[in-house]
This record gives sequence, structure tokens and C-alpha cells, in this order.
Amino acid sequence: MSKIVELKNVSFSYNDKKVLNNINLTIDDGEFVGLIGPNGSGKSTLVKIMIGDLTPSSGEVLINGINVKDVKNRSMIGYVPQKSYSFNASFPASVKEVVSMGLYGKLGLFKKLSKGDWEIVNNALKIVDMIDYKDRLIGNLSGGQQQRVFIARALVSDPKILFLDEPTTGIDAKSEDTLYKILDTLNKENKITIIMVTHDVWAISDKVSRIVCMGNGRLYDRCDTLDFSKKELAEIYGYPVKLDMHHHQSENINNRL
Amino acid sequence: MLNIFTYDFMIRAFLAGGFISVIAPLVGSFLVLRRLSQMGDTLSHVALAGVAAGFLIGINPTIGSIIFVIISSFGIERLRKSYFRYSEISIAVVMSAGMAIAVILLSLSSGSPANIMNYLFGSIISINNTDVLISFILSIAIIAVIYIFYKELLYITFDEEAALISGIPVNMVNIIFTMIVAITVAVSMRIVGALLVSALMVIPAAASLKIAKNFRQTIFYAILFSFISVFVGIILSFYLNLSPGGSIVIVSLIIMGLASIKKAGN
Ligand SMILES: Nc1ncnc2c1ncn2[C@@H]1O[C@H](COP(=O)(O)OP(=O)(O)O)[C@@H](O)[C@H]1O
Ligand SMILES: [Mg+2]
Repeated sequence: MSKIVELKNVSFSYNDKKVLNNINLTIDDGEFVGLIGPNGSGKSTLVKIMIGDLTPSSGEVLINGINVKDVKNRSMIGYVPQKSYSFNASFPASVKEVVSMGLYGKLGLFKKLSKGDWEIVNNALKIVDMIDYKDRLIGNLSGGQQQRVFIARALVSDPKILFLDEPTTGIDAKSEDTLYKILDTLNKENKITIIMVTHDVWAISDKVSRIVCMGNGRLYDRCDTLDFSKKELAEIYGYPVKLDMHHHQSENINNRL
Repeated sequence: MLNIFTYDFMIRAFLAGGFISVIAPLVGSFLVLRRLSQMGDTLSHVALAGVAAGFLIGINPTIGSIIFVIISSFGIERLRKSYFRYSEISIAVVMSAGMAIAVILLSLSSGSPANIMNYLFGSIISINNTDVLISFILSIAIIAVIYIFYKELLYITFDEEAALISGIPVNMVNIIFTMIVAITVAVSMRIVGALLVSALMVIPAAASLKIAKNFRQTIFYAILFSFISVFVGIILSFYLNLSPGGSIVIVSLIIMGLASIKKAGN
């Protein structure tokens, strides 16, 4: 297996607040990695570092062995940001317009979308099972449907790696299942390496091939099995954690923030 | 009744009005969706200072206002970044600065007060061939630029951060957009007046938002509504001897009311 993402001694601070502390992480081609940790532990920051949106204050991020800043083919990196943080829900864009945006960077300036590009948009919408909604306004969809549209937007540029930041936040259990099925297909059939941030310790345990834990800006490699103790979890999370296994009806877990 | 088209000045008013009825809502739609509706208003105050400067040094006032507005639009961007938590401060500061400079320049210049009134409240009688030509050339340029950068503008308007990450040259497109806003304000002010120019940029877009099913439609309806408002407004102002800017804006408000009712009925 080849290494598709490699972080070497990566540290990062916002102004003088240290958020990532000497992170080392290697992800192989084809993996489905779940990145978990409490709010504020630096998960989103780590993802932004991995996609090259933020530059580490020290250390290196390699994608296929190349520094992420030097990756020519940006479209090989797909990114579904943490929902609601920058997008305006009442924006008058149709689903297919939103998905087509994923092609703009790849197309470059001065080029218009071709018929073939719209085919690609339709195909991506079929993959996430949203083709019937292609002419709907994005704001009129449920949270889970919007999330699938944003996944389609990330898919149109034909990424090799897909980063998803808390894609299940605020969506119901049924949509969550659909979402995981889609991700599973993308990982197994389309051979896309997936790195998914989530807040839920339990919900993803049987969905991903590996779990990486974050706490206080550090990575904990002892999280790749679920047999860690209450004490260890409390250490990672910085507060006592209840260890009960109601994870498949975990609506309440989703009600954070 | 007098035939409106027998007057040369009315033909000029319809021509210039036709151009601005396209560019004001075209640019305005992006402004509204980026939550920058106030910017048109601010820039129009600065444009007045440019008009006053034009009178004072004897250049075409529209050109004077374009220069002033472009310079100040970058001032707004700078201030917005340094006061990013209170970005409305920059708008308030630039607006006051524009007004203050306008008043001072006017008190220095010997230009007749009637002239500045044309720019404050808009005018159809005083539009000359140069004005028509300037508004034609600049409107074509603005439409061309928006056509060329349509997809980048759409993405930045929808989600600036995602656009940046996907490799879109956000800063460059923003600079171009800021200049377009500035030019649109300066050109449109000639007919609707400084006080109401931002209304023509914002209200048709706001009406369009009520009924559009996608972004293309948003722009299409905004232009359609503005076109109707400008033509009906100019005709009303001719026959009833009303201010053109006021008539245009009232018509656009009526259209916005109708669009809201249609939305409520759906
Ligand atoms: N743009 C920013 N500027 C300053 N501090 C930030 C910024 N973004 C995040 N932080 C801080 O960095 C820490 C990690 O944030 P984040 O990566 O979003 O965590 P998570 O995604 O795990 O909730 C938090 O304490 C947060 O307040
Ligand atoms: Mg986060």
C-alpha cells in the first residue's frame, strides 16, 4: 500500500494559541479513517492543514509524497467542510448549480461549463442519490440532503482523497445511515481514500477501517480499537465520558452545538 | 397627450436608462447575496464628491465620480479588514467622508446648485450624448466582465472560503468586482440620483429572491424587474413631472410587493 497522506511533526497555532502539537500521521491509499475528538480539540484545523488551506507553523504535509502546497492537481483533494460555517442557507442556488461549483477550480478562468461537465454533475448527483432534487433550491433541502449535495460537489472534480468534516452533524439517524452507505461505496468501489471527522466515538466504529483520536492538539494512536478504558477516554477528552453503547439511536449525541 | 418619443432628451433618457436597468440589478444581485447591500449607498455618497470635484476642475462629472468611487471602494476594503469585527464601521466612515468632501468641494466650486441637484435626485432632461455614450461603453464592459467571471463570482458569493480552497483567485475576482460596483454606482447615479442608486441595485434583486428557483433566474428576474421599473418610472416622471429616481424606485417597490404576495400564495 502506498502512503497517500503523511504528516511529519506538524504543529500549528492560531496567533499564539497552539492548536496542533507535533502531529505524526500516515494514511494509506484506500483507507477509510475516522478522526474523532471533542469540540475544540483541533480536528477541523488538522483537516485544513491536510488539504493545504492552512500552513503548519512547523512540520510537513505530504500528499502522495509531494508537499501539499506543491500539489499541481488540486482537484485530487476533495473537501466537504463542516456544515453551516460559511454557506448561506437562503442562497438562491439550485442543487445542480451548487454541485457544478466543484468543477470551477479545475476548469480555470475564462472557461464555461460544457455539456460533458453537466453530465459529470448529474453522475455525482446519482452517486449520492440526489438526482431527483437537481432543480431544487439548496436551502429547501434537509440537512442530510444538503450534506449529500456537498459530497457531490466534492466528487465532481474526481478526487483521490475525500476529507469530510463532521458530515453527520444535525442530520437524523436514517440520513446518517444513507450517508455512510454512500461513503462506503465511494471507498470500496470508487477507491477513494476517505478521512472523516466526527464527534461521535461510537457511531463510526463499525463504519471505518481505522479510528484516530484527537485530544488537546495531539493524536492518540491507541484509539484504533474500541477497547480503551473510561480513564483513557477521560484523558483524551479532558472530562469524564459515559461509556454506554446506545450508539445507534444516538440522536442526542448529534445534538451538540 | 404629448408623444414622449418626439423629444430627443427622452430618447437619451430611455437609452441610458436601458443600460443602467441592466447593470444595476446585475451587480446588485451579487451585492445583496454577499450581504453588502449598504455598499451601493456608501459609494453613491462618495460619487457625489466626485461629481463636485468634476465641476470644480472642469472634467465630466461622471468620470470624476468613477475615479472617486473606485479609490474609496478600496478604502472600504482596507477598513473592512482592519475593523473586521465591525465591518459596518468602514461603510459608515467612508459614507461620511464622501459626504463631507462633496459638501466642501461644492462650496468651493461656482457650479450652479441646479447641476448638483441633477446628481442628487437624478434627471432625465439633462442627460447629454456624452452621458449616453459613457453609460453605453461602461455597461457593455460590466456585462462582459460579469459574463467572463460568472462562475467565479457565483462561487465566491455562495461560499468564499470554499471558493478559495478550490483554487479560485478570490482576491483578484474581488478586486474586479469592487471596481464594477464602483462604476455601476457612478453610471446609474446620472438617472436615478445618488440618493436612490442603491435602491435600484438592491430592490429588484430582493424581489427576484422571492421567486427565483436558481441563481440564473435570480439574475434574470432582477434585470427584468429593474427594466420594467426604469421604463415605467421614466414614463411616469415625464407625464406627471415627478423625479425620475423616485418614480423608478416606487415602481420597483410595487413589483417587490407583488413578488412577495406571489411567494406567499405558493
Ligand atoms: N480561525 C481561528 N482563529 C483562532 N482560533 C481558532 C480558529 N479556528 C479554530 N480556533 C481554535 O482552535 C481550536 C481548535 O479548533 P477546531 O480545529 O475547529 O476544533 P474541532 O474541529 O476539533 O472542534 C479551538 O480552541 C478553536 O477555538
Ligand atoms: Mg470542527
